[in-house]
Amino acid sequence: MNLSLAYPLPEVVDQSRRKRWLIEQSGNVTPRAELSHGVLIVPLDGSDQSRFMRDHELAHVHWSPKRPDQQALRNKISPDVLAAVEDMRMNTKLEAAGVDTSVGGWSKPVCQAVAKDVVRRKEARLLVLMAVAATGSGFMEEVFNDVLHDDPIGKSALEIARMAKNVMWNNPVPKFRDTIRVSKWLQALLDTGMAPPPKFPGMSGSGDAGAGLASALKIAREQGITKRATRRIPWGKLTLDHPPRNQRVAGYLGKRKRSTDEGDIPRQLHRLLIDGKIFRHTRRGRGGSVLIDGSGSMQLSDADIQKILNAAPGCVVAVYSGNTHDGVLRVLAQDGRQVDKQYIGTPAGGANVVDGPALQWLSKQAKPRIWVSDGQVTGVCDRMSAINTLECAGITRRYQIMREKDMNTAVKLLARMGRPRS
Amino acid sequence: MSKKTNSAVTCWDVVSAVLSSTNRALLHGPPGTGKTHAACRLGLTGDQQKVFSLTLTEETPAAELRGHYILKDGKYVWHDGPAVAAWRCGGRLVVNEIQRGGPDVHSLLLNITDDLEIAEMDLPSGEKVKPAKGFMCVATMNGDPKELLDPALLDRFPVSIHIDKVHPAAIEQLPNDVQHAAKKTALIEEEDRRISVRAWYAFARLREKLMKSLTEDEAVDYAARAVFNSRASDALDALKIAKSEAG
Repeated sequence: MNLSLAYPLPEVVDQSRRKRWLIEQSGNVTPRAELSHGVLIVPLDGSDQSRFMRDHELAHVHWSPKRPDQQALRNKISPDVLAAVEDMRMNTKLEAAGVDTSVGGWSKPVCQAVAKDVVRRKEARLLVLMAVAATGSGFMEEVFNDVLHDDPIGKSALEIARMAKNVMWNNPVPKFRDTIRVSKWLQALLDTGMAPPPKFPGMSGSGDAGAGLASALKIAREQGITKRATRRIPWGKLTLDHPPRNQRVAGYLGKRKRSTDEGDIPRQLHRLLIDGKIFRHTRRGRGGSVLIDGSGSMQLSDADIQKILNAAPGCVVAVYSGNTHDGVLRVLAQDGRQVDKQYIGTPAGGANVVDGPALQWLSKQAKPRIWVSDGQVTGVCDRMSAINTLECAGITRRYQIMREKDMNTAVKLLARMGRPRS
Repeated sequence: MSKKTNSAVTCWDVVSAVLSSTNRALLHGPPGTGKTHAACRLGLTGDQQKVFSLTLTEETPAAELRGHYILKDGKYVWHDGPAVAAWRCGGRLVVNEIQRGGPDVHSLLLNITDDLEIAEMDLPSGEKVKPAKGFMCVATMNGDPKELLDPALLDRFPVSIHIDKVHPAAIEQLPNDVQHAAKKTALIEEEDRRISVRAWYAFARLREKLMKSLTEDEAVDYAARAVFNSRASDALDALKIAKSEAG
């Protein structure tokens, strides 16, 4: 039996004109292919796991571009997301090419230990990326499935990994551009799921990363995993419209409390030894901001918009809608003044198109922020996509924006929050 | 012959073109690329030109190249070695692994590869021989001649061609599915990583024979294990990956 080292053959699979490949034994270094330098760092022993790793790196030589990091940068994708999705593409393509991937790259105890450690640490993002990267790695995938299945976040991670695989294999021969497409979808999902949970005054937050991931997964499920649904649609160009605000509005929304060391009735005696600010003054709130989705699907009449305006005195109130490639956001009320009746209504066509930029605008306004929308968002040409929907959900989560699905619930929320006085 | 651009001209085009027009040529490069085959077959001046071939080792005596006495019918008679035989008939002398010859072979080679006008040799039989018209010497070797050959001997081979590609005819003999792999792996510089065309040919032939009695998968697996040993699975996996569409 020949016990010499098992060298891989990158020369056979390399499509470039490179003449020379340098093979190095990985040892303690993570196996990898330095495609731009023609270096392959892999284990060279005869074990089945090492063979899987060599095949995986050979797959990168054959199917991956030379500088995936540059592609990640160009497409604004996090490198770890791109790496996980590309690993999944390699594994599943190896399977499709008839290469035996059943043993995976790690032994069972190592797989179990790694998976259990990540589950214990509740690192949702890492769990998802690990589940995605392990897809198609045979035995390794099975062990991950067993461990992750018993954990709620792990379960979501597994479902996301399954969906990612299906999204990838929408194309019968997935190319690197499919890696980019799936990475964008996965990144949107993770960004939404990992955003800090919103903290609204008087309302309980929507939980930890697991809850965030579950809500992002729900959106992804609703939007579907077709090629069309998982391709990001660019947002339309948003124009801000500031018509004259001639009408003065009395009242304000909300109130703020401030601790002080002067006053009549000490209400916070527990602060005596902390900072001495045992009195509490209640002051007028600075209002908040309300953004109204004026697209056709909302079916809002001018009277409905007026009702929201009435319920939000002192707030910044704006309404937006779009045409096919652009949209207008009209500020209806600000600084205690609002526009004349003729401006109250939909500012552009009946499409959405500019939900993303409009929410970005809202994220810069005063808290509390309310978005009156049915959650149906579209990009240019009024096209829907899971990525766009997840992007909007991510903004609402990150900037603590409350979404109310129609006029009635929005008015009720405003009434509860502000107790407006006239 | 249609004109090729500089980048399209291969070492084999050069060998084919110049081998018949020079009387001393050195072909060097990695093993298993078809150097010996080319030295024996390409550029012969007519069907009648004889080819005398010899592979040198450190132990090869000069007498094997020049000739020696043999006992025949109770008498000692002179027997020409390949070098003298090629000189006499104006044939082609092919010296493989020229870098391996010992000192006595080395000095004899200097004599044999001297300029045709001045070359001559006194045989132990007392006979004086000169190269006949048409004599040529083609030497082959692995590795870099500047490092491995004596400068005086290297100077005898003004035509020195580096063979950096496998001979197309050798590749064409292989089945389609291993041609690309053979072309690429035969030229790997590191010896322990290189897989020669001969090995791929042996694999393909064995596979074909085994397929008569075994299933295709078994035949492929057994043939690969027999030829590539511990690298069998890596070779087969590389073939499978290379077969699928890139990108």
